[in-house]
Amino acid sequence: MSDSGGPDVTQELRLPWDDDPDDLYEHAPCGYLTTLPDGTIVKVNQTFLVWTGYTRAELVGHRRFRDLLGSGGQIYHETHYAPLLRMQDEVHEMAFEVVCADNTTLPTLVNSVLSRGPAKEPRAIRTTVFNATERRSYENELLHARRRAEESERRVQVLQEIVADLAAAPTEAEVAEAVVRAPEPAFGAASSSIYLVDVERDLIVAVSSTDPTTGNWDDMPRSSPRAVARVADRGDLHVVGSVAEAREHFPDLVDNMRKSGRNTVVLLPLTTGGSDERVGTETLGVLAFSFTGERKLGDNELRVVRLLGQQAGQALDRARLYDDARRREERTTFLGETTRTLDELHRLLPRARRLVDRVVPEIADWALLQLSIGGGIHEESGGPAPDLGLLEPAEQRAIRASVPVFPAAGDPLGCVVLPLTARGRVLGTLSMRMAPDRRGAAAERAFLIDLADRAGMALENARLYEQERETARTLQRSLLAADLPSGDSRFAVETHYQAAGQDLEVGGDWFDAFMINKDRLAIAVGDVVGRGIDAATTMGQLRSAIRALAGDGVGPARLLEALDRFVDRVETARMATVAYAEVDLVTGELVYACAGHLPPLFQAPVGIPEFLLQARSAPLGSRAGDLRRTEQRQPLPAGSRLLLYTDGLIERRTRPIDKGFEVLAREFARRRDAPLPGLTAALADLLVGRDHADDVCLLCLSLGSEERIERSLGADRMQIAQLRSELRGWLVAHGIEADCRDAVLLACSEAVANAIEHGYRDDPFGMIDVVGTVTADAVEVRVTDRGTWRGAVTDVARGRGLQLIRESMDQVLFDRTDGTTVIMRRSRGDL
Amino acid sequence: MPDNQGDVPDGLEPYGYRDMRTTQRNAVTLTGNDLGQPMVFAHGYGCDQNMWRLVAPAFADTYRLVLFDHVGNGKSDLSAYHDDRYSTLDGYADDVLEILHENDLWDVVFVGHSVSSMIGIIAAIKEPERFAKLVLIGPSPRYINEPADGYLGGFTHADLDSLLDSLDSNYLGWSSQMAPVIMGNPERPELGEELTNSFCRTDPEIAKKFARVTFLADNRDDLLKLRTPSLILQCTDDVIAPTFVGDYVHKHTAGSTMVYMNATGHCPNLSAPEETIDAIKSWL
Repeated sequence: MSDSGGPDVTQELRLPWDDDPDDLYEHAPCGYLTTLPDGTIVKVNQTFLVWTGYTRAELVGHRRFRDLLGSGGQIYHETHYAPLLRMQDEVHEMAFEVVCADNTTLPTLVNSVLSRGPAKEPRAIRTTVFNATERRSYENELLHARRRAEESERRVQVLQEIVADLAAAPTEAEVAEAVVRAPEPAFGAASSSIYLVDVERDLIVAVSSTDPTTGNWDDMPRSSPRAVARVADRGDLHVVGSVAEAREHFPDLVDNMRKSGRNTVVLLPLTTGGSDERVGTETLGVLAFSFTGERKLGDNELRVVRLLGQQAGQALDRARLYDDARRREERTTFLGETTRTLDELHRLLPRARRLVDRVVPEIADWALLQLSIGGGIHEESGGPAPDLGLLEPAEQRAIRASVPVFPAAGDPLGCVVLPLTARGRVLGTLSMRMAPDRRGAAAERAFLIDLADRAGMALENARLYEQERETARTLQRSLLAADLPSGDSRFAVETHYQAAGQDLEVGGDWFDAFMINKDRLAIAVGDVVGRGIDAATTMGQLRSAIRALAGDGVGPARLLEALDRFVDRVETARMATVAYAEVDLVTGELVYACAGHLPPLFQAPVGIPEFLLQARSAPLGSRAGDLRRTEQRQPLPAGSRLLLYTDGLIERRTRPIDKGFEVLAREFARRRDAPLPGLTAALADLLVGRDHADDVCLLCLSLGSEERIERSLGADRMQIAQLRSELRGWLVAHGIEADCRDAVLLACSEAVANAIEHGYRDDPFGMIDVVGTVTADAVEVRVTDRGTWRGAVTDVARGRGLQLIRESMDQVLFDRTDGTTVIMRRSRGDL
Repeated sequence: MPDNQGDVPDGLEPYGYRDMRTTQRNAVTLTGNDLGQPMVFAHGYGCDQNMWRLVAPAFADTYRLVLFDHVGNGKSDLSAYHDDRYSTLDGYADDVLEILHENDLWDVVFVGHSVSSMIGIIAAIKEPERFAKLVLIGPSPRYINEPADGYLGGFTHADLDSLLDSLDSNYLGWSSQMAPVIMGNPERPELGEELTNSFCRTDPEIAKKFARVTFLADNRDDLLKLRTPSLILQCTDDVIAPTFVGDYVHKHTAGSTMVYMNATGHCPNLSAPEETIDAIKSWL
């Protein structure tokens, strides 16, 4: 306790020697500098000199403190230390590396105080410098550790992201995009580009770059002496550390490194295997990335770079396999679809059209199909068309050699020309310009050859179809066109055959009309089951059989029974249907029978049409039911029409069959007065239209081609309409032109009206006879009454009525020998 | 149109967006004569608007003074820092223009120190109608030598790496080291308080990025495009912007006036405020 008067300890702690202030300054455990405000050293202690190796004379008055710092330190000094000192008048613990006389560096921590003069003007800076070697090495370790950790973390993070991106990238292009973005965040590269190796085309293709302006970014042959090609060839990582190194090893890089200010370039092969396993390792591409500075890559970084190369290579490999598989699948689907859709169309031209429409735009942007078959077919799709002057020789080559012509690199035509062959014959060529495909050329060629095979077969089948169709049509036409009876004024026959639309094969419908003897006419309409050339042939046989079997005294029922026996020997004719009728031209009697066929439609000169529903039996050769055939008789007055037809006329998917009969009957009646020529075609057109799924066959018999028509009627004006109707039917049956017909009807009506008015003025029960005759060149009508005309005919004939008669007819005569007869003649007008 | 709900990242918004957000983002300080011609002071690399403390007051009577901090420095809003916006000096120039837009400043005298002189040049090229005059203190259009062009900027890429090392070694200690710093200035104690909190404080990561942007920038072509009259203040013994760089700027900038100063170092606004003030005033 010092206050208790104990011994004075300070005496014992007194220094053993008097401290020398100079010594204290010179040998203080820190460097000590005094500088002017601009930093010029004016005083420095021994400690600083010993640490740095400078002599006092070298520093004092000659150097500023900042001169002793490295370049970065100088910048830091000027941008941080100096402003802070000016503002705060002191700075603490700034870290600087002092460059010693021997060029080694001394890590220091620096404290400075700015002393000011009386006017606050800066006067001097006093600086203590502590040797921070230990601390700085420790800090440096920390710093490095932190940097390493940060870099490693960043790289790991970047790589993780990239690996994730790669795993998610299903296509080569997407893999390339993911890889090319890696070097900038992972290694601080300035830019990077990716190239992929295309083995089939022997090319290295520039795919993507983060900065395409750096140049050299284009495709090259694999054998190119350029750096990228050589690295791809060797499969080794290359780091070009400087422009000088580039000049020595990869001269092609020098210009662009200079131009774009790059000093380090890394060329990383993207390989399928690890760098140590050279066997079976394939280089799929090269990633080139560059740095602005001369960048040294540490071992760790190099390891990561290699790892990136392998990851990318494996992802590329996977993507390629996936690409290939998907492409194969697409192509297979395309081929299947093409075959299927071509099969939908039977005819050659539509099929050819569909082929080019399938090809464009799915696999080509332009296509031209040229066929020598089918009279020469030229179908083109897409565009723009290539130079046809170049195309033609390629087509000739393909046809001559019967092998596909594929475009070579740089070929100005740029088209694939496929010869289309089938059963050993060249049909023509399919030329296509396809989007350039980077890879898979071999697979693509196989696909195209397959396409050509299928297209050739489909077109050949269409050609055969056309051929058979044409044959069947020719056959059918020749059979149907066989001479039908004509020139007999007692009847007229009009026929119509309409082939099925929708490019279906010919059917087995037929019609026929022939004379059994000079007064007996046979008519028939039938339908053979099936289509095509077989049906046409069978139809021909049945038709001939009917002609052979028909005869005097046979009749429809016997004829059908005979046909049943015939069909037993001609199997293809089984279940055919026939409507058969015979007309006695003398008596005007019809005998008919229907074997499974639709009922004939009968139109008497007056009244509504009716279907003849008697004498119906099963189709020919049908073994079911009653096999006896019956026939039915029906009088056919002059002016009657009889329509035979096949089911194609009635049956429509969109219409119930009852409705079909109804429509047919109505339309037939509406045309009662229409001339026979063109009647059947008009009915077919109206009932089925052009685009129908079945053949249609019609035969219309017009009877009553008698030269005379005789009618008697009472003196009743109401009966004139009936007369007109019957007279019209008679005129129509004789094919009298409409103008002539109307004139005759008008004149006749007026003459009858005159007879009623003047002849039977007082006799309501008087009768008027009307006799019409038709000759080859004229129509004559006589109207006779037996009444008592008053006065001379010329007087009594009403001015207007007679006037009309005279205008309508060429010649009008009056005969009063027995009552009064008006004789009117008119030339037929169609002569 | 961007709305005010903030769903568009700041860094991507065009400048001229009409919202006074630069005030906070750039810690804009408006002082001086409200009716005067605007005078905008832009600090250089390494510090903040405080470095104008010895110079700006001399203009307060006549001019409307606008001081601000570049994002990442001083009291600026660090969260406004976006790599893509500030990866070139253009982003900083856009900030300057936004400050002019939002405060409706025209006929501006722009005083830029160090890298801010280039930022001012870029801004004045983009919207020349707003700028009357530029004062460029220690400008350099390109710090790195370009041997290919025969250009000497004074530095190499290695120097930049060395600077980044220096930044690292200092920031390592700074977090614990930036103890309250009291400025020996009894007349104006409030300054000490202010400095304690913000004086030249910089986010270490941003400082490194700003250093890269600054030292890798190449604005030599921009000099040729400048049409605004300018004053170049060139210090003696400036290692950052040596005299030969100042001469290059003068030679390639139409309508520029060169003043060689006695002041040494890179910060005449601190080391020789009177000389700096006189040079600016006499030119204006």
